[in-house]
Amino acid sequence: MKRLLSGVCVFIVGLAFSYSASAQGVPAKAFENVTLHKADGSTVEDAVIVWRNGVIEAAGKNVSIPFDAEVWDGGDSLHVYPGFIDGYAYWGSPDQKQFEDTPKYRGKPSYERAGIRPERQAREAVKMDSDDFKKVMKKGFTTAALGTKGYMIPGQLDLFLLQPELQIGDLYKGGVGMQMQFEESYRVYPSTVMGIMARFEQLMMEAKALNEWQGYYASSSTEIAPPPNDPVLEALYPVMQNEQRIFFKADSKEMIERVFALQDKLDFDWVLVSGMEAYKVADELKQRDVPVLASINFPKKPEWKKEDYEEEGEVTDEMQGFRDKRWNAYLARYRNIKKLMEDGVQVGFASADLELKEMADRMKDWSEYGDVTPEEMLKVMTANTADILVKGSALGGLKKGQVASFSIMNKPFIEEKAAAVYSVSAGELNELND
Amino acid sequence: MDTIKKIALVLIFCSFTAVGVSQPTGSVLIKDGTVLTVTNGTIENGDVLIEDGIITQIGEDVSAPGGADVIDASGKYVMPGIIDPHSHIAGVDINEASNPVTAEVKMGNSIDPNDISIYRALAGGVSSIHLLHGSANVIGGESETLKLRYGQGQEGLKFEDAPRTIKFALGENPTRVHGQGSGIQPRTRMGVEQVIRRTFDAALDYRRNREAYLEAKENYNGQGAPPRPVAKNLRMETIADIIEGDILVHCHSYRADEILMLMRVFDDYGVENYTFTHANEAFKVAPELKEHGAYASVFSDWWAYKFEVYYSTAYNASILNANGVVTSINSDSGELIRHLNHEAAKTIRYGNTSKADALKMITLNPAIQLGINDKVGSLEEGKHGDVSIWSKHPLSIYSINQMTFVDGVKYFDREEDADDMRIDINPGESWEQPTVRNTSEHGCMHDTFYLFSETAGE
Repeated sequence: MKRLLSGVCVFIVGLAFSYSASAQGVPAKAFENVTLHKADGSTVEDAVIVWRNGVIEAAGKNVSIPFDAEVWDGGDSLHVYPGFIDGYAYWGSPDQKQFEDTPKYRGKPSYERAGIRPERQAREAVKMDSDDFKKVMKKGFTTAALGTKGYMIPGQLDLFLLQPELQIGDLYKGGVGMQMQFEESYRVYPSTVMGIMARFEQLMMEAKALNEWQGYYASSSTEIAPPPNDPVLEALYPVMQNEQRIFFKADSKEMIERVFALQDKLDFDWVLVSGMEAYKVADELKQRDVPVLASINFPKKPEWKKEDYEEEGEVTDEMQGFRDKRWNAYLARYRNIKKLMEDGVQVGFASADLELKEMADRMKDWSEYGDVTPEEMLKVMTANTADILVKGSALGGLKKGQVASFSIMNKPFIEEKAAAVYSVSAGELNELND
Repeated sequence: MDTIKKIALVLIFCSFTAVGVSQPTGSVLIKDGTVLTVTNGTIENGDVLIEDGIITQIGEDVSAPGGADVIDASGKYVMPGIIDPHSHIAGVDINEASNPVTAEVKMGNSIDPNDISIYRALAGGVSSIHLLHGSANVIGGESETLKLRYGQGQEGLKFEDAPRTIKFALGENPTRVHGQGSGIQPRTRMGVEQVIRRTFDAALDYRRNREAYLEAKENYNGQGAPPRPVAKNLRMETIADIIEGDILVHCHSYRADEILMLMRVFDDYGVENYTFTHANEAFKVAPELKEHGAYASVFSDWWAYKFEVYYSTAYNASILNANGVVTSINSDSGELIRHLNHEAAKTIRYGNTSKADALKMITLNPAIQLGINDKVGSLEEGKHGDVSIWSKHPLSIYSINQMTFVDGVKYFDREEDADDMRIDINPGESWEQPTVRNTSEHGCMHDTFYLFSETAGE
C-alpha cells in the first residue's frame, strides 16, 4: 500500500511539475561530492543532488543541503546519471506459453491461441519478484515500459519505476501502448506475415462494428439485441480511436514498410520498436512522425573481426570483398540510431529482444562503432525515451521537479565495469552492492 | 508516325505521370536486331525505341532522341520480356495454410524484393512474374503481378494497374493439407467443390447483408429500431468480388474431371475469366475449355511428382493451343524460370507448335491471362518497354539472354554480370559463403509442411 501511494503520488506530482517538496514533512535525502551527468550532456563536478518525497529538489553546484536531509558522500568518485529508461523491455516477463495442442479448426483459433491479447496488461503477467530488475538497475536503469512475450498482439505495455522487487504501486502509467509484432502463433491462423496483416485489419473492422452496435444499444436498448461481450475487441478501441499508440516491433526495412501499409489502411498512431533497419526508411518515419525505440541488439561481430582471430589460409580478393560488404552492413546497423537522429527522427531506447547478459557488450559496440557520443547515448536512453513514452512527463532528467529516479555509478557509464552502486527510483534509495 | 499516333502516345505518357507512377523508367534505342514483335511478325534489322519506359517506335532506321542510350543489337534477337504466370520467387510466405479458405490474405504483403532469384530470372529474359499464393487451400490469397525491377522495394516491384488475381487449388494439395492434416473438409474432390460452393453462397449472403446494413445506417435518423451492424469481412469481400468479376482466378489443378467441375461451379455463379494452372490433363477437355473461354497455364513436360500428376503428356500445351485455348508455359520454380524460352521451345519439338505460337506462350498469352496484355506481352508502340535481347533466336537451345529491360531500364546485362549480385546483406549471417537456396522452396507447397509434423515449428 505504501508503494501504491508513493507511486501515484510521484505520478501526480511529476505531471504537475510544480511540486513544492519542502511543504511536506518528509525528510530530504542528498548525495554530495558527486559528478552530475545531465540529460542534455552537460556535467557538473563537485555537485549535490537533493530529493524529497520522490521528487528532485535541487541538483548542481553550490546547492545547500536542507537541515533535515540524510546525506551520502560521493567522495568525488561517484557519478549521478538520470535513470536510464527502457522503452520496451521483457524484463520479468515469463516465456511465451508453448501451445502443445493443435486445434482441429486451425483457421478459427481462440484469441488466446492466436496470440491476440490486447486486453492483457503487463502487470498481470510480469513476475514482480524477478531478479531481472535488480540486474538492470545495476546497469543504470530506473524505469522501464514492461511488455509481455507473445505472438501477434502480446498485450499492453506498463511503465514502471523500477525496484529490486516490483509492486503494483511502482506502476507509473498503465497501458502506455499496445504491443504488436509480426509473430505468428503456432500452427494456427494467422500463420504468416500476410495472415497477421489481414487478421489485424479484420479485428479492427470487427471492433468498429461492435463499437457501433454498443452505441446503438446505448441509445435504444429496447429496439436492438444487446451486443456480445468481447473484451478483446473492446481493448482495441483506444487504438481505433487514436487514443493509444501501437508499439510495433519490427526490424527489417520490409517489415517496417508493412507497418506503413497497415497504418495507411487503418490510420493508427504508432511507435516503431527495435527497428534495426529503421535507418533505411528514416525519411518516411520522419514524414509520418513515427518515433523509434531503437534496439542495440546488434549481431555479434564475425570471427575475423575479433582481436585474437588468426587467419587460416589465404584471404582472396573475392573473400575480402565479401568481408568488406558484410562489415559495411554491420556499421550501418551500429549507426542506425545516429542516422535516425541526423534525419530528425525522435529516437529512444528499447532493449526489446536483447538479452540482459549481452547488454554490456552491445553497449560497447554501440559506443565504439555507432558514431555517437556518450552524451548522445545518454540522451537517447533518458530524456528521449521518456518523451516518447509519456509526452511531457517528469522522467528522464535531473532537474528540479522531476521524478527522483537516477543512478549513482562507480564510473562513467560507458567505461568498462561501470555499474550503479546506488539506485534512486521514485525517491526510494536502493544500495546495489551485493 | 502520323500525328494522331503521336498524340495518342503523348496521352499515354501523361496518363502514366498522372497516376503517379514513380518507378524508374528509361529511354533506349535498340538498333539493328531481329525484332520478334509477337503480334506483328518479325522485323529484320529492326529498331525498337523506348522513351520514358514506353515503346514509341518500332521499325527501321529509327533515330535516337537526345538522352537515349543506344544498344547495338545486330546479329541478336529482340523480343518482349518473358512473363511467368506462375511463380513463387520473391515471396516471403507463400501459403497461409491454416484454413481451407484464406481469400483475405495478399501476396502483395509478402514480397521479398531482395530475393536473388529475381536477378536470376532477369538473366533468363523474364521481366514480369505472377507471384502466386500457394496451393494448400481451396481458395488461397490474392496474388500479385510483379515487374522484376531488382533493387526496388516491395512497392517498386508491383505491376501498376494490373488486375487483381487470386489462387484457387483443387485436388491433392488442399485435401492433403486440410483433410488429412486436420481432418476437416475437404477430404475429397467432392469436398473441394462443396467448400467453394459454400463459400460463394456465404459471400453472396454477406454482401447482401452488409449492403443492407450500410443502407439502413445511412437512413437511420435516431428514431425506431437502429440497424444491427454487419462488420466488414475481408474474406467475404474478396469472394464476392470474384463472383462479380473483379478478380481473375488462377486455379491450381491437374485432372480433367476437376477442371470440368470448377467450370460447372463457375457457370452456376457467373464467374468468367479464369485460368487453370498446371492443368496436366487439360488436353482431355480442351474443347470445353475453349467453349468456356477458360485459359490454361501448363508445364512443358513436368509430371509424376505425385499421384494426380501421372497422366500427363508433353503434347498438352500444343493440343490446347491447337484447340484455340489461350495457353501459357509457366515455371512454378526458381530454376525453370531461368529458361522458360527452352520450355516454350519444347512445344515445337513435341507438338509441332509454330514458333510464333510458342513465343506467345511465354509472352502475350500469360499477359492475357493476367489481364496486362494492353501493357506488355508484345513489342508494340504504346506498350511498356519490357524487352529482352538474345544471342540467337530465343527458342534455340543455344540462345543466351544478353540483356533484360523493364520500363526501358536495363536490369540485366550479361557483360556486367558480377559474381555477386545479392543486395540484401544480413550481417548476422555468413556472407562469405553463398547459400544455395533449395529451389523447392519456391514451390506451391512452401510453408505447409509444418502442418504434417508434430515437432515442426517448435
